[in-house]
Amino acid sequence: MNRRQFIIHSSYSGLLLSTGMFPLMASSSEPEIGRLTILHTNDVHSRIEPFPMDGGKNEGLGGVAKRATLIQRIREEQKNVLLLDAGDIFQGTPYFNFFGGELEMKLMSQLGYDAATIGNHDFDAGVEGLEKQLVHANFPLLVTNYDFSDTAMNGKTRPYKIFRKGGLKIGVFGVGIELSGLVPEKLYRGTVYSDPVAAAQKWAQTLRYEEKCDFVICLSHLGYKYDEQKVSDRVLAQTTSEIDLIIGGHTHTFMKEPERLANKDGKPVLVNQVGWAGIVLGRLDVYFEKNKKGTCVTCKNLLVKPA
Amino acid sequence: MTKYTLAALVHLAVLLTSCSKVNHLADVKPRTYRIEKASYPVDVRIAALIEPYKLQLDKTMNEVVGYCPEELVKGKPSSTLTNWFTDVLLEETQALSDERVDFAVQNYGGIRIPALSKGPVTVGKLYELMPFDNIMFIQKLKGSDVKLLFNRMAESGGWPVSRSVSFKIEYGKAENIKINGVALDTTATYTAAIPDYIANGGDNMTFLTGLPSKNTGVLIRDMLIKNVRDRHARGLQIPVLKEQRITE
Repeated sequence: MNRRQFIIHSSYSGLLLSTGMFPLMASSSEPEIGRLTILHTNDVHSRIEPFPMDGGKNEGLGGVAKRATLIQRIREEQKNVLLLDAGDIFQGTPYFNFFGGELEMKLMSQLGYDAATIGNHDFDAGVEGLEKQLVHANFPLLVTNYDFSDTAMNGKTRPYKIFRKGGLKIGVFGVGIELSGLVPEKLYRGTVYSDPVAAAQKWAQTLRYEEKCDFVICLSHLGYKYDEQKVSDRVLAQTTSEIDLIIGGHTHTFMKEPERLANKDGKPVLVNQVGWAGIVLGRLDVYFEKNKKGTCVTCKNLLVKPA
Repeated sequence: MTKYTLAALVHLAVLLTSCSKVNHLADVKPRTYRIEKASYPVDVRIAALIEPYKLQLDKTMNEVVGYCPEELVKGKPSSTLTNWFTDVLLEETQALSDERVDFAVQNYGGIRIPALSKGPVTVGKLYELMPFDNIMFIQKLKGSDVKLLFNRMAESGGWPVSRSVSFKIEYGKAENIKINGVALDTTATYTAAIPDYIANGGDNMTFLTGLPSKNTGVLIRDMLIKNVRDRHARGLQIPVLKEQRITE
């Protein structure tokens, strides 16, 4: 019998939606399967238009107006869609230099982003500059380890948000990178950074046990991995519990598929990141089986790779 | 409590929990979509939202501020593009300062295009050349710090330096350093135009942090735009400076 604690299958082979193959395990009716579609970007860096046709490596790639069509098509096919961003919305094209991030926020709102976290470059016009653009955003900025109490951003972010999609309860929270040494001090002045691992552990626990979320997502701008001793998504994944998925950014890593790691309790956690500049849109279809505790017919035996 | 009632209670507890259903995480299937040039049609509603910003931007970006008589190429240890770039920084910083500025430097990686093409130069091109909002600092360096700075530059094959500087890279060190034609005096104090990125210790120039410095508040990019525009107004093109300030 499957445990609630599952092991991720090493290959993402097809999901067996029918219970016909397991007559002994099947209950009187087929299990009810829920599906959540998570779409995500990171480090879009004000790339509003596609890269210019200048012979560069990325020429013609990306562009918000094309991404909008793609997202709309997916929304037409899928009922339960969450659209998330892992930070560094700002800086990289003159759109940011000229309009301060206003257009970026308006476009993300129009595309129906559900939440984003804050990247280091989102401070490039100062804390005040970021605060000024929030009026153009209809989605929340989620961050658990920046204390903005002494800044213009006081009360303008939240640690997490819960989304209810087709009977599922999804908890999303955010963590940001250490700003000292990365962002000029005068740009983030007053922002107090704290340990992202401790913050993530605390809020993941809250989401799992107090809010009783079925799925816990961490939006992270820590970076995928580092050679030196530095907290990254891989470190976060392996030193915390109760996180199911980390959607990362900062290192501009193009991952072919999410990495599966064991958290500190040996349970699986996925880490994903899709490069930068909106060249790639990531998608994760998450399947849930509604069944008795301890019984899951379609659950994959998820094998966690040793780290 | 008898053995039987305990068993019955356990049984009841099992029954109760098994009645309520929970959502088991069953599977995760990933995929990615690459947004190629001819991948998806443009969403017209989104394009309409972008349009007014784009028009306003294009108006500024397409403005021709000067003329480049031949292609300036970025290279190490010295190149026409880096020579021109740092001379602009020196001239524009000197114009902001009452005291004499001895030299200007720029981190090689901060120059973001491989070449400035021959022909009209637009504001947009200068944004591509220098997309970062780096600000010019005026820093006071002891001669020994100047030696350290140029050694670091030598280690990485030579960085952009203004016309007032010359040295030779020997075994990864800066030798025969001259500033305004005079050999470097390690005990003297020099005044340098240094972008905030480096002045604040970027690119491993940590020894520069904490040295006396003044923030001019002027963006490097704005210095370039102003300089090209001013020369153009005087009927001058962008200068082509071929001398090897740093030799190997």
